[in-house]
Amino acid sequence: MNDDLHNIDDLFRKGIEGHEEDVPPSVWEAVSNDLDKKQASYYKHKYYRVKRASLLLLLLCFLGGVYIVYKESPGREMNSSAQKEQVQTTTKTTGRSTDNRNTQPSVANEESQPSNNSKKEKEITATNNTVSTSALGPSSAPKATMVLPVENNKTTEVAATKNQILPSKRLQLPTTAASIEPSNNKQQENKPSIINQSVASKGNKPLRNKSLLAQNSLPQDASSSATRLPLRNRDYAMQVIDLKALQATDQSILPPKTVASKNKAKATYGFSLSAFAAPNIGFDRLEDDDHLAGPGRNRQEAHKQEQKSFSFSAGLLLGYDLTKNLRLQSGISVTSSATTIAPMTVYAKPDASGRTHYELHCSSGDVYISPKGSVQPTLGDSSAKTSGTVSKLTYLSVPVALSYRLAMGRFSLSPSIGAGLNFLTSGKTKTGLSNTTGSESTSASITGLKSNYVDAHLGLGIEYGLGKKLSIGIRPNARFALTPINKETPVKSYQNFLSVETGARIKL
Amino acid sequence: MFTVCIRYGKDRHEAEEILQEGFIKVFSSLHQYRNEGSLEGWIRRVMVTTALQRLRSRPALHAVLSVDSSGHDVKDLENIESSLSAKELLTLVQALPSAYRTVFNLYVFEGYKHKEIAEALNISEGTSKSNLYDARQWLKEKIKKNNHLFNPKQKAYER
Repeated sequence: MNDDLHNIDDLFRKGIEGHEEDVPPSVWEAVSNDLDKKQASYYKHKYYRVKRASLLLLLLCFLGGVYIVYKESPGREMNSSAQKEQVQTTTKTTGRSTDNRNTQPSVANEESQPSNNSKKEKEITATNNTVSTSALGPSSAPKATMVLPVENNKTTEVAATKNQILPSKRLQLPTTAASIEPSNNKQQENKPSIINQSVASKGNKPLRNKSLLAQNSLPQDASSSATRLPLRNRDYAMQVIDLKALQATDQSILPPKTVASKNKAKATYGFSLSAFAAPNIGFDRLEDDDHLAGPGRNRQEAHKQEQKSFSFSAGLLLGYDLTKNLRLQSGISVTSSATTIAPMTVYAKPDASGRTHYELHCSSGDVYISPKGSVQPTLGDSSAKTSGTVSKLTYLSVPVALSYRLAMGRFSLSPSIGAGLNFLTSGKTKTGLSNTTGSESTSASITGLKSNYVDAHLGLGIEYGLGKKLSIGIRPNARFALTPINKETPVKSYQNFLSVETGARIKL
Repeated sequence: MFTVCIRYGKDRHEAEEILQEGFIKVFSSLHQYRNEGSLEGWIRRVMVTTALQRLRSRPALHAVLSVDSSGHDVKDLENIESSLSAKELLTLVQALPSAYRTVFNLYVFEGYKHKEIAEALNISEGTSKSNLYDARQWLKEKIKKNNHLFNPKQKAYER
């Protein structure tokens, strides 16, 4: 009998050995199509990261653009543009760059001046020599009377600007000028200074006298700076001080006080605390592990069997205003998500320690379920059916975000970008297990989960100020996992969330 | 390779699926082939593994049928041997219940030991031995019952 049994083995072994069957062409076509799909999927995943990086880059560019536009908007700082113009005028009239180092008359500046403005041209010609005249010394200053027609406002603006923008460089003027112009330049001696013109145009008085008169009305710091000067330079400083005095006497020629300077005084940069809560829409991105994925254990199966059911986030964030518009936020938040897994048959398998449990596969990892009853599963011979399976993951997150605030009255928009480090606090699966001995509900930990993962945040906060310190708002937010939540599992899972956070912020 | 797949599949359609799946694995994992042993052997192993993975996703691989082994004389097996073609033998293997077929294939064609079969299929060694015995009995019964179909004399007579 035993021989016959072995004969059976030989009968089949020898009979089938070397036999070849023709493969239908449809099989090869299917293989080719599947390989193409697999390759497409590979490239899709490969370029997903590139796409994500591009998106972040675009957002940064957008934020940068918004910042630049906002910074240069005319309503923000009226004087900012006025100052720029005046600085340009100063540059043209003095033939110097704003740093007062380029003392040569700039041809480019002259060319950029409108050609039909003959007055300005004259002014430029006159003022190109002004510095030189000033450089010659105070002795030439009193000679400066109305020689060339000069618009009062323009000249005083120049003076104002010089006075306002370059207070620290006032003292460099004579030194620089002196260094480039010879003192015996007679032709230039007779030319008036634009500064002197401004003085003259106001009162038709020699600069020396005017400056002496104005000196009494100077602010303390200005006069003290003048007194600190070495004797040689004092007269030149006096000219500048004199301009300030001029501004003080005629407010109409002063540039308007900037909104920014007002805001700066009022602006309160500091800490703020915000609390938020949000229901999330979870959508996991699943990727097959090349080595571990196989039939029954791949992302397609996971997609079929699993469905995100409930998720929420809540947290506290501490914000610090880096600038008027830029805020850095960090804090702590909790994110909990649940996934429903379709009923399936599980088989007895050994776990890492060699103990036999029912093995349940899910996208997060493997779950080894031990029935509470006395009858334990035996290897290979036992199976059970699961029902109502829910896996729950809870993470403690530490987000860091940078937001840019665009104020619109009481409302403000704050696009933000950031990243978060998420620490696993709990990863459990609850399931109903039914086999031949009965049914019961049991829970078990998910193995294969990493202790942490990193995600990126993109959000757009809309805030409404209730008072000086309190504001409420909502923030549509997107969180994209940059690293998977599990390792050494057939399916790599990336947790992504979309949420609309609601919360309140209080200035500390 | 298709013959290997036919042996593991319950029908030709399933064998085609195994072959397709196996070749996709072969092409996508070709970099894992270390030039140790023949490429054919490696591909064959991939095919067998693919077939086993498919089987694992199904219900347990243990005793399915009771085989009636009540004293059929199998002395004339040698006479039948020469009359069976490879195709007929393959048909018989395919007709085996899934659990028997897998164990029979692994033991007879792949040369696995019972211990290895038990590990590969996550079953006990006893189950493997039992399945193999039952598979053999089942095949003998089938051969005996269908002897008239395989008998060339009878076939000639029918013609």
